[in-house]
Amino acid sequence: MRQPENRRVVISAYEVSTPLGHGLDRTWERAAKNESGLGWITRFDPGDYPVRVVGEIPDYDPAKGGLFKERELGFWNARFIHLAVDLCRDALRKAGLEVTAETGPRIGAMMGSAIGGSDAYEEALRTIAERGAGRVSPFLLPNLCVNLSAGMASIKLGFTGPVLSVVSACATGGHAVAEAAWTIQRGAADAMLAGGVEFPLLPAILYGFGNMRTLFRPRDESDRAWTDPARASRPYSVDRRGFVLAEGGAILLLAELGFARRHKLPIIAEITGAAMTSDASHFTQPRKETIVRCIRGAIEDAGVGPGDIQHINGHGTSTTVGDEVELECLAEVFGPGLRSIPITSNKSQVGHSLAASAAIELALSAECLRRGRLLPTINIEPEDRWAHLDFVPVAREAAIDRVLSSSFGFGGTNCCVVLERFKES
Amino acid sequence: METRNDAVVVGYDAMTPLGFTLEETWKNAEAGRSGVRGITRFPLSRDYPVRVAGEVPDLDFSRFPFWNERDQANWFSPVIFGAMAVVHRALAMAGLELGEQDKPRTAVVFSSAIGGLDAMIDAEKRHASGRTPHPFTNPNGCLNLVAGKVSMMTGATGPCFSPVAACATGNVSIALGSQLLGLGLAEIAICGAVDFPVLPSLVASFAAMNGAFQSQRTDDRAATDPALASRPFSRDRKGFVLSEGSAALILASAEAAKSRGLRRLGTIRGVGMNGDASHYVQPHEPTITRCMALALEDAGIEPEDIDYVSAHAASTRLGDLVESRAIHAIFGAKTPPVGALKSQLGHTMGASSAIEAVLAIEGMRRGIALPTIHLDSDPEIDINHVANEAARIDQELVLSNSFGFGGANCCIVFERGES
Repeated sequence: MRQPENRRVVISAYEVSTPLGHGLDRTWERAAKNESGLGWITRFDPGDYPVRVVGEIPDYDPAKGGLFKERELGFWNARFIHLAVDLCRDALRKAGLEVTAETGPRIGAMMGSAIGGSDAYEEALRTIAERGAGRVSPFLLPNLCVNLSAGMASIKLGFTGPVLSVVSACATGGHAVAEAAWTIQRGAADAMLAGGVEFPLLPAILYGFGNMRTLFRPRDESDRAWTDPARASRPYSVDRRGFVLAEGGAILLLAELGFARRHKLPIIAEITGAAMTSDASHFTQPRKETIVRCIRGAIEDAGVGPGDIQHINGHGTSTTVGDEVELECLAEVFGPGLRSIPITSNKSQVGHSLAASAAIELALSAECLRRGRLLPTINIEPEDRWAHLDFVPVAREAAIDRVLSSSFGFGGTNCCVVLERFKES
Repeated sequence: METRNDAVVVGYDAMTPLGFTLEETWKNAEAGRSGVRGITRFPLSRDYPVRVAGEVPDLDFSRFPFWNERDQANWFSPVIFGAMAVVHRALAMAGLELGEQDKPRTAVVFSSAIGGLDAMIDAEKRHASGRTPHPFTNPNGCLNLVAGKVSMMTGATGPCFSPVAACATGNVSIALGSQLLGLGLAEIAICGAVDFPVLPSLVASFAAMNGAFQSQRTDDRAATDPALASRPFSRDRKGFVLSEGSAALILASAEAAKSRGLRRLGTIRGVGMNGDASHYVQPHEPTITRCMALALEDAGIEPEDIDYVSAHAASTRLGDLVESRAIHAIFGAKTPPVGALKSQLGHTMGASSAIEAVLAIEGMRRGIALPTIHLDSDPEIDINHVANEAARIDQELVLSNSFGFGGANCCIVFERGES
């Protein structure tokens, strides 16, 4: 390989779709009002199964996106593909970047999904049971290919740079953005659409996670979410009881600084640091040593020290062990200074959309930098030992220049990214 | 002179339909044999559309040090042990034991196109018949766990994730591994891919797409010998044959290889990656041509420097033809020798390009170019075939192509290492 060019990578645009609403504007508006997007499940009837709170995108309709004709939606029936393509189109549009003969070959896509087209697979099984094997869609396999989100975006939007997926469970969005940034840094592309998309509200997935005891279920009637599902996701709180499975997606448009300038793209933030580590220990239990190294690695890569981080967008899924280990790791990296760094878990409002979550959190972090406003960790009632920390109970103004966003995935895979308000020089 | 930052290949391994070990695979590949046979992994009903597949023979992980009965019961999808086994052997070939210093600097970029889909299918079956799914269903089905388990086995704590590009997955894992080394984000990268796709619903779905070979005509060459079903570049090619396999490559930065006294068995000279932006399965000539050109450019070489092309050629009507045209577009009328290894191996999905990378490197070290077997040359495909028998050819630089569903392309130029 050629020697990397070590170029600067900026974020020019992003679009998100969350249980708070389809589109950044709707999500932001409700997030800034401290609302929750979580509610009782409607996607299917879980019978008497005790996990009933989920996050559903309330207002996304692929037929309205205009990129898929009605007939196409019949055979391209994996929803992660529709949403990925729509978000890519919206991000390009927002940045005002046109795919032309000149730019097309230099624009690529790197995005992931943890469960991909499992919805298409479930539908195929139903078809077999109800109508016979001969009626299974010949499009089943491409719908199951995780990389078809990036592939279909390339097909519909016309760009021909590197087009692929990365998968790292709940850290996927982070790995995709970091890998995309490195691909630009190396010079293999000038712009990348990066992120993650997930539609996990299927019986098998919900029951699978539910039986692992990772999903929120109320203990009894005294639980504060017993009658109010908005209280179910409570990262870092003393009574947290597992994460809330959610739909979601986010795509960020990354660009090399010179390319962004030549094409007059907005420059919202710069990706100045990123690091990845692996726990090499257990597939679900997090390991402090390697998480600490990942956080430190991203800060070092940004060329700054822990004291220069002004906001932490945490992984905070609302699981008993995960949140505890994360806070212990943050305390180790930031020391006593941690008390003055606001910590937010967006999952308190939008739940956990697996592969999409880290991308959503990076987009919302960039938006916080842009607007000078912090989003909250709603429902926060911290344990005594963490009561001195600032979990941003309600959204507030704050001029910040540098954010650390962390994500830690199943299989022990970690990714941290540092975003900064863009500065010349 | 431009500064280069090539990743060095210090160890590699594969298990394929031609053999459970690399040694066995190579011996059979060099002899021009096929690993394609009648399907044995599941019972075939009379009207089942596909009869042939490439299955890894003698699949038995019990002699590996990572094996124990409890783990075998938990990690039941063969993609998990299939990945761990080739990494274990590749590290042994490299003579590399990861020390405490190495572990944080070692990345795992290992992947799979379909992952543990068999685990999900098993769960659906149990669920449908009123039984509880296996508690390890999700861990087996979570695609990045092939990388995660390799990380746990080796103790590697550097970057760890699974890139996916359908049938180009193996090559993109090598590409992103090299990129991590090039950017100094790791010193060693364990790369590769695994797939065990010979599952009833999957094989039938490929047939429904008209992608998989499914002729039951008595006048077809494969009627008497199933091995003849995979015949890339032949005039009567009729789709690919699904196969199982796994391959690993241990990469190191030049400095890391030197300081640890590791042998340079090959070099990743250049990588090209792009997308077709055209059709979800049909290949697109201009972009696959450009992908090869990007790899040559990244390697800093000219087309005439390439001594052998390991083609993607899966044995599909259109795919093989378009690739041959793209090869002409790069190399002109007279092409370098071209081999289609899927004629011997079938199509191991995401693992295929990783396996082909391993065989390309082994072939360079031995001065042997592997052939396209079963070749009854399509007159429309006028490339320089290594036809039917392996050829003794000195190769300094080899181009290995892979083109995946969704229009994900990745081409890599490998350079010869120590023999």
